[in-house]
Amino acid sequence: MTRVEYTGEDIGSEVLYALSKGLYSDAKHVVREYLQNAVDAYPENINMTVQGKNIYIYDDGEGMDEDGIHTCRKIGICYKDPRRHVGFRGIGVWAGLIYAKKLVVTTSKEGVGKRYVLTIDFENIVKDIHKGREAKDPAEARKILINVLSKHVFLDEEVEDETKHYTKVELNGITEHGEKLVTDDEELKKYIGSTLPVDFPDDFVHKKQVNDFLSNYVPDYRTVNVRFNDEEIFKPYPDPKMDLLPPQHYMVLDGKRQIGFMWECLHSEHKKIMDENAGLLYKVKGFTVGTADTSRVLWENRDAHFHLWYFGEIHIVDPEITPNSARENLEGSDAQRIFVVKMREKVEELRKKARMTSKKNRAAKKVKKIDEKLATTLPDKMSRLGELSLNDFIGVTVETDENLRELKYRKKELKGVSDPEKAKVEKKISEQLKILSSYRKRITKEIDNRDTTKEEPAKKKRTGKAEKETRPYKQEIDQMALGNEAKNILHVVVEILIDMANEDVVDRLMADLPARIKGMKSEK
Amino acid sequence: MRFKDTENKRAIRAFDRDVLATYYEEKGKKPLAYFGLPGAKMLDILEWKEYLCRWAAVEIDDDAYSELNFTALEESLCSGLIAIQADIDDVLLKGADDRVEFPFDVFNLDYSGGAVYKGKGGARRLSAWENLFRRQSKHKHDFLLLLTLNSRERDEGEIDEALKDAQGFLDDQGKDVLAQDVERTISEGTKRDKFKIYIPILMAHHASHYLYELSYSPPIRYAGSSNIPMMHFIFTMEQRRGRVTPLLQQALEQIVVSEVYECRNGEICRSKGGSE
Repeated sequence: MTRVEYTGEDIGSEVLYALSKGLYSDAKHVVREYLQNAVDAYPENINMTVQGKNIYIYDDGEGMDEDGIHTCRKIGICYKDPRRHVGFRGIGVWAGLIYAKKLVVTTSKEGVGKRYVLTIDFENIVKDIHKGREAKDPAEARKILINVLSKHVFLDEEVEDETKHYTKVELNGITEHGEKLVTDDEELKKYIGSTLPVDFPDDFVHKKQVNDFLSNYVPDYRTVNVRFNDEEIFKPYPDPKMDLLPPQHYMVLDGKRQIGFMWECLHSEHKKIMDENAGLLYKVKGFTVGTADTSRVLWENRDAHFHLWYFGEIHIVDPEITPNSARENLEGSDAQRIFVVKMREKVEELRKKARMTSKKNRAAKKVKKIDEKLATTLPDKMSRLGELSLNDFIGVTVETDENLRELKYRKKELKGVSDPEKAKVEKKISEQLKILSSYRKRITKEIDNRDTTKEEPAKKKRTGKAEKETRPYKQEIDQMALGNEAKNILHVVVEILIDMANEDVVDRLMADLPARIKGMKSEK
Repeated sequence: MRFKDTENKRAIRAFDRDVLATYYEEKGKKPLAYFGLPGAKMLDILEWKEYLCRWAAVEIDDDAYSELNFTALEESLCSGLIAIQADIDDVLLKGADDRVEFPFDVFNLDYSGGAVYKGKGGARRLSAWENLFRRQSKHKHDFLLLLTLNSRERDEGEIDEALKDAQGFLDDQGKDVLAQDVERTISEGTKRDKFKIYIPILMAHHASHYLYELSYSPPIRYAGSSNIPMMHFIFTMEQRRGRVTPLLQQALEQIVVSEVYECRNGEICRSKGGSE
């Protein structure tokens, strides 16, 4: 192997030091760096496999000639056009520095008739690199670094068929830092699908609409075929059981300038998409930046949970907005801040839509519940109102009152909502209010009835003494967590029982009531 | 080390393809699991792919191992691939990582060297083969063994010794004519003649020990790359119970009388004899 002589112009030393300490919070991001380079080569196919402790990536893209491979070995120096390419920080082939023992890049460009084999002994570079850090003067540090690299980087050329164009990347001997990469194929596959600009599978029902939108609006939008162990990788989407409404499209503008495009699908039942793929993902040149949680900041705090009602993507097309080095969020910049402000305006529309629908949903849910009661237990109890035991009578009264109160509240809440199903819910509420109000009238009448049937003998007997006897019970009832109507009913009941000189029954009732009330509430 | 493909090798691969096809049919068209030395270009796996479901590919050389993995990526052979960078005899002797799951249906031990090579720890290759039988028999699993070796064997009398044992055994069984054939090979045969009998006898011993019934096709001799004399053997091993001695006897009878094929200029035909 032929050693490569490095010069000061080849090294952005701080990048190398940063890499030697581990730039990535997740080793999978390292694989993404190499896959990004592959995507930048405009391939038709990218294939990847993990065998033992080695990772192999093959792309049939443009490949590199001698200049290309020399640029590629440089550190922190990049000539890529950020408008065209995803990788642009000059990290490129060095991303795996502490994650693998050795890197081998073999590449060939059409028409060149040669293949270049770049071998970087990561293991020994990591071992020696700290010598440079310990040097007192920066010039000496740079000199040490140059020596280290010149000693451990090799470049060879071999004859190749002129028609061939490809790049092969081999990460050899994955270290403990990257152990997850070689032990969990499924996880890696999932990661690739959710990160790379791959397509949706055909069974995603909105695939065509989404792709049409992205192809028509997002400049240079393209997807690549990526295979992992021969299996084609697709973009994940929520379980088809979570029926999603057709996508809605939005353009994000800063003045007249297009800075982003968003599409979203709302759950058809207007509720949270119970799936790990819910949420809105940032995409830069088709690559995902961060996770769905990253775009959560676009939502107002109290309504941030609504972001899981949506599944979609936010494609950022402003070239001034870039992902950070770790690709976990957008790099802070004026352009990024403007983008966030503009996006918040869009997201506010989504929030309002979700909030209104949420109100409608809650009302509809309540209406449904009351409907069930009106169709089953309540009418029966109402038909036997006069025969009901005291407890049942109290139960019916409380239930009716509470439902009335609830419906009135929901009716009021629906006033500001604009939703196609709102009118239907409102109509139902009105019907139910009508029924329940008629029930309440009958209950009031029954309260009077129950009171008057005992009135005559009671009147005769009611004395100051009787009043005095009922007071402690009434006070006790007033302390109970009941509505006023219920309390009034109980006052009457106590009076009747005292009039009947049945204090034992009153005592039993008072002892029993708190537990029964509690029971009734928990049943509700 | 990467070996150049030759027209003889291509012809033998095609011949083996038919062997595999027959074996596949016999096994109820159940896709076969491969273990072996496919080389960097994985040519045998590519040729036999339609009969295989998974392939454990062993390669010791750094460059060839790397190329093998990229071949798998380019040729869509990754999904069934377990690539192991190791010495194949070591893998058979000590096992590799837990990705390698025995048993297998087809072994293609396409060596460049001979059988009795004196590596570290003595005749490791012979022990490795025995271990192959042991591992397979543990699962009572039938298999097809394709074995290619350099027939210019530099042994220290092991081959003659093995042949004498076989001669004695045939003598004891009253197979005088066969015993005499073996004796003649020992005294008058070329190295290649002896090798033609030695390897199958070795396999017959392992087979009978591990209760396999051995079926044996005539070996094919050919000139490998750089004109190295090579011999290709095809064995079918089928698990049987309780017929130990007849199994060996039957196998030896088959071996001693077997003819030999020759592959020249990419054509396989019956050998007309001739020296090395």
